Amino acid sequence: MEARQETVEIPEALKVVFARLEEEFGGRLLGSSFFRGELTFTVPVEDYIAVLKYCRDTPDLAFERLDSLLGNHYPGRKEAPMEVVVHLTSVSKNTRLRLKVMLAEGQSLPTATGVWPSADWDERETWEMYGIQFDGHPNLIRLLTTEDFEGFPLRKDFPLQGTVGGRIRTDLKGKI
Amino acid sequence: MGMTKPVGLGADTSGNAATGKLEISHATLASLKNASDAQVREALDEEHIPGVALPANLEKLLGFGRSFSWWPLLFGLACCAIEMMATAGPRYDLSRFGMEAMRASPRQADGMIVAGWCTTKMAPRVVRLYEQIPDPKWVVAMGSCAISGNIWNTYSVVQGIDALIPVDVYVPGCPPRPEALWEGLEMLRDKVKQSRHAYDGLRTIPARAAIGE
Amino acid sequence: MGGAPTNGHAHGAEAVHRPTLEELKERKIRTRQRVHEGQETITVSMGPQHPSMHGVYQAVVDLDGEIIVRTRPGIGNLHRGVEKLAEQMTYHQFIPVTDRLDYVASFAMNHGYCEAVEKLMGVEVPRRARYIRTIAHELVRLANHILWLGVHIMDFGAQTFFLICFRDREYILDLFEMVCGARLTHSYARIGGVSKDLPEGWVGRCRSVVEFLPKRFDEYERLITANRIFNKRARNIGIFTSEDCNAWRITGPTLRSTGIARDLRKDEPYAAYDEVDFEVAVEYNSDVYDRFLVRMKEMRESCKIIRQCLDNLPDGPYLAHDAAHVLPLKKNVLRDSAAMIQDFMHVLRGPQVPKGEVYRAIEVPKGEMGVYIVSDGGPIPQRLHLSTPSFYHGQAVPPMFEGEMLADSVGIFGSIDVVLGDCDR
Repeated sequence: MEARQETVEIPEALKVVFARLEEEFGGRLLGSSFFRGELTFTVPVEDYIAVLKYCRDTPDLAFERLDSLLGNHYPGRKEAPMEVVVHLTSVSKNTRLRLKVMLAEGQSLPTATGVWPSADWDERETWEMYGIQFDGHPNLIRLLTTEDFEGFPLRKDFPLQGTVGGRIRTDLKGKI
Repeated sequence: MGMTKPVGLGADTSGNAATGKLEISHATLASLKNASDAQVREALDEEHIPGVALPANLEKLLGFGRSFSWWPLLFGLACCAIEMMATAGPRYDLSRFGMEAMRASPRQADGMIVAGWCTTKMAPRVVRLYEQIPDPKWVVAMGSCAISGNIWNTYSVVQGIDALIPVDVYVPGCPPRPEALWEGLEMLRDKVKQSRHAYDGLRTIPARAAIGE
Repeated sequence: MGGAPTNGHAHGAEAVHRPTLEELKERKIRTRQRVHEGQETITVSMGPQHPSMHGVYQAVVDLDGEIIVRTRPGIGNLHRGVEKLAEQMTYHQFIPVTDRLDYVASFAMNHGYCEAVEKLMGVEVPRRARYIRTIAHELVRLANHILWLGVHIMDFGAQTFFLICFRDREYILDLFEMVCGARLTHSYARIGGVSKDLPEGWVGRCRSVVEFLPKRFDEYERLITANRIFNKRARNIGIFTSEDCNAWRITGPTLRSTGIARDLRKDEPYAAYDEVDFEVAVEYNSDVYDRFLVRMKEMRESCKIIRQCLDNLPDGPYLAHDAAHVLPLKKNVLRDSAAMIQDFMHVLRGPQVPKGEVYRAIEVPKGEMGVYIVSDGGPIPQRLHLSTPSFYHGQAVPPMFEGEMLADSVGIFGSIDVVLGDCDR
């Protein structure tokens, strides 16, 4: 699912980001793309936390903020159907960066809560919706759905109406 | 009709509901000696003050009084709650009808306006709040989400609040305008005046029926 | 970026002291020192049904006396799977769903979503549509802040102020009713523009409202800004420094109350914000009181922006002419065969979208809302994620509450402006 490459000139601030990341991680980055003014890097699982820390701590990049962390599911991709997408924002430099990690089914990812505490609920949501495990997460329990919910709703094979029939969509036994 | 009080409808389950036995004072019986069948039925159809049967006229008087001070529960779920607040606000001014005193505690409320979609996570809480409201009580389902689930035909939204609790008045709209809610509350007032409830004739509330209680 | 503090309210009369980050940290630490580990605590569950909670947010707090030691937040009481729903709908169909995210500021949500889709499709929005969007967005910001103000002051015990705010909010809702027929859920933005042109007489009426509202704001400030109770209660509580804000992804007025002039209207301009002149409201004390001041300033700035837009409102189309991506004008559909075919194509199949992915964030009244869309070339998105401000604001409640008094927690929670529909999605 590679994004279409564009011939638009990359802005100066993003060129710096591109150069610094290429310089530091070089051949280990799995790919990059530029679409609609947004820079995307695909990062291997083992370098994931290192890249996040590097982006946050390097003064040239200064990505102070994790804008969002989310999962995605591509059932067609047999070897790596799961994906975690991270958006970083630099308030001081006014730049954005997208990082992607591709994961095999059942493969886990180290938690980013040590780098940005705001990743906490995002990771819980990603786990709840896609079943992607985050190693070292302090409290990986269901966030938005009920505790006895079964299945991972945002996976493509999960039906929109859920697996519990009827109008109540849940089993109220023992709850009321 | 209405001889057995639905299980779980009220916080107070003493008296008639627990035993299923009717207690009528001798004075009332005496007053009913020469009454017509309809009058007797009206007098016996009296479950709201457990253990005491009231003459029909007193019930009418109570209904009249209640209809001018129906206090809803301060309970907002989603978008419709904003319109409910606007209805209580200065332009629509619900206090003209004695309905603006929204009680934060279900124990002091006369009913609830379910304003918004009810999720599976919220469903047990809605049922609990409903059951904590003492009898008699009335429920208004405000907005399409509370009526039918609206566009949220998804894994985590209850498809209509009447799958959980008996509803007296449905106010359609997404969200209903304050005028619509006002109209709904006027309809509710008629019901309150006549002491009619959505739970009349129900053995138990739908949520408990669904789990086989 | 601008953002020097303006005077014009009672606060400005005092010598403005700008605390440094270290000072703020020290203040925060002083609050946190009130927490002694190992004390016996009692647990109180606030919410989901709680009179002072804004919506169905649950905060289970551990209390040592009146001091909050720990907070365990619980959300999801309004979760309905918007992101899953988005994967079943075409891009056009999803617009009304965005209304119900942040239902206090519906248009802002429409706008954010449409901006993202336009970025993905590469649609150029006509200039008039961009101006109309700016006006509508600022009106919705006014409505949001006025509602917030009423509820927030009610948290501190002033019931009447809620009624005053609701009175003024109705004037803005009237304007929306004129333009799109709905009071709360507008669905006014369309991909490539807005759904309807401004009706006759609207501009004049809007102008009179934005002339009139600042007078009301003066009244608010007379009532609140120098109010002793509000000052005593709201100052120096809920301090959240700029570092904390970045760590917890706090945006919007809360971030601007820490002295950072971050406003996407300036930093990543969209609609017509690059053509109007306004200041970013900034305050420096990072507490509940300053968040109030920031919002008051923002409301005045909003009026200023609307006035400028009304003055310079250009003529022209209000919806882009782009058969592949944009719905036709409704009035043409039954008259023009090309428009009819276009309508059929869009309604039955959906727009033609390039493959790719975009992330677009805009400044909604509560903070920065980001929309991430992945398209696989079909008429429906492969994945749509909404990173909404309330979600992160609700998450930051435990560090914000730590060491504060229970009675203040209500005000602190109110000051970060969480709407649960936005939070739970």
